[in-house]
Amino acid sequence: MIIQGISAFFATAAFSILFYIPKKYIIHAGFTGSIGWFIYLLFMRISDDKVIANFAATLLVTLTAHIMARKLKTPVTMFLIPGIIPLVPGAGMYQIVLNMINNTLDEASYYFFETIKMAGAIALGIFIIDTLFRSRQRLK
Amino acid sequence: MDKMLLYKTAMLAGEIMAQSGAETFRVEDTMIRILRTSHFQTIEVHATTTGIMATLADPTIEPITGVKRISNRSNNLSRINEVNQISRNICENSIDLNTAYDKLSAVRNVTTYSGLTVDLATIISTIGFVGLFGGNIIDCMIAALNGLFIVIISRLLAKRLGSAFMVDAAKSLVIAIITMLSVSYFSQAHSEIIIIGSIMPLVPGIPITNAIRDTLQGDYTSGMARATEAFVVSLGIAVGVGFGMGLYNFIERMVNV
Repeated sequence: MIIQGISAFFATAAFSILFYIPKKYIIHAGFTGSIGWFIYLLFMRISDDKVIANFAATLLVTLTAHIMARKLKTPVTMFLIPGIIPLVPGAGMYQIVLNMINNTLDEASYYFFETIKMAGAIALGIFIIDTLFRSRQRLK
Repeated sequence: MDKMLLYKTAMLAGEIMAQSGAETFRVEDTMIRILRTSHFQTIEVHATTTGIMATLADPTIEPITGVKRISNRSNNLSRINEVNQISRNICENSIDLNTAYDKLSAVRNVTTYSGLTVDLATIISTIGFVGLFGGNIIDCMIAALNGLFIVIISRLLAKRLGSAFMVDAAKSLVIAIITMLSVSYFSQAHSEIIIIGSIMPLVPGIPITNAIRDTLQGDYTSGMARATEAFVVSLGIAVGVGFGMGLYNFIERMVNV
């Protein structure tokens, strides 16, 4: 789990270079990514439900990204995008294609709906934290 | 105040942001803030993923209106950050418009990372993602090979093919074939983890995130456009992986017969 968390840091940091994130923020981006993946793995140990784990990880990633963006006076996306990347259900998409090739369509539709649910969990997580921060801004 | 220069500055700021993959509300917000420094009566800005338009009008001046078509988009968060800083400076009155316009024009020519750095980052990220998904050392080494091929294909094909769909499909096709071949030699390797980790650099992260944020903001046109973009890219990856694996299975069967 620790090794996976550390690789999450390097993966996200390297990934943020592909999006041309300024040099001084690469460490921050890597940090957001590894935090998200760590929470995901933690929740997978507790409940073994990918959707809930994804939701919890997205909540924390979005929260971290918002706090960092406020502190450093940069757009939120700078940290949000690298943080979300490890949570994107690439495995689900792979399973859909694999099962379609093998003609096991029941499995394919199972993974299809699981992928949709995981993507929905990400959207909901971002939505909740975004709304919280926006309403806080309005109250000021 | 030079109102034409102010207008041009706002349009340029919006254009760079829209081209670099900023959310639609950020593009509009930045342009409105810059235009508002004029204190004119009418300030209207409308942005979508494919174009921006703005109007500046007041009883005392001739109204200015213009459209800018956004055709080629690339993801560059560093430019969004730069434009963001410059627009903050304009609103705080800490730089004058001429300097701001020059600075904005310069933002486009700044290369944050050299091509080699980006290539290296691609390879490191494939290794990192395979590790993240729980792969072992052999998996990581095969992923590095995959990363190298992603780099080679982007260098060779990106300009020639032009269409992002075909380039992504080509990359994931090669990834699938290399992975299946390597896994048949190394029994400890996991094909699933390697393929998922290796396609991660191709995953449309910015369109996915922006599709969510634009839609929630009420910018449904942009939200749908980005969701479609994300879907098309994912489809390209899926077609590539699917075709690669199908091809490998076919050849394997032919050889064994």
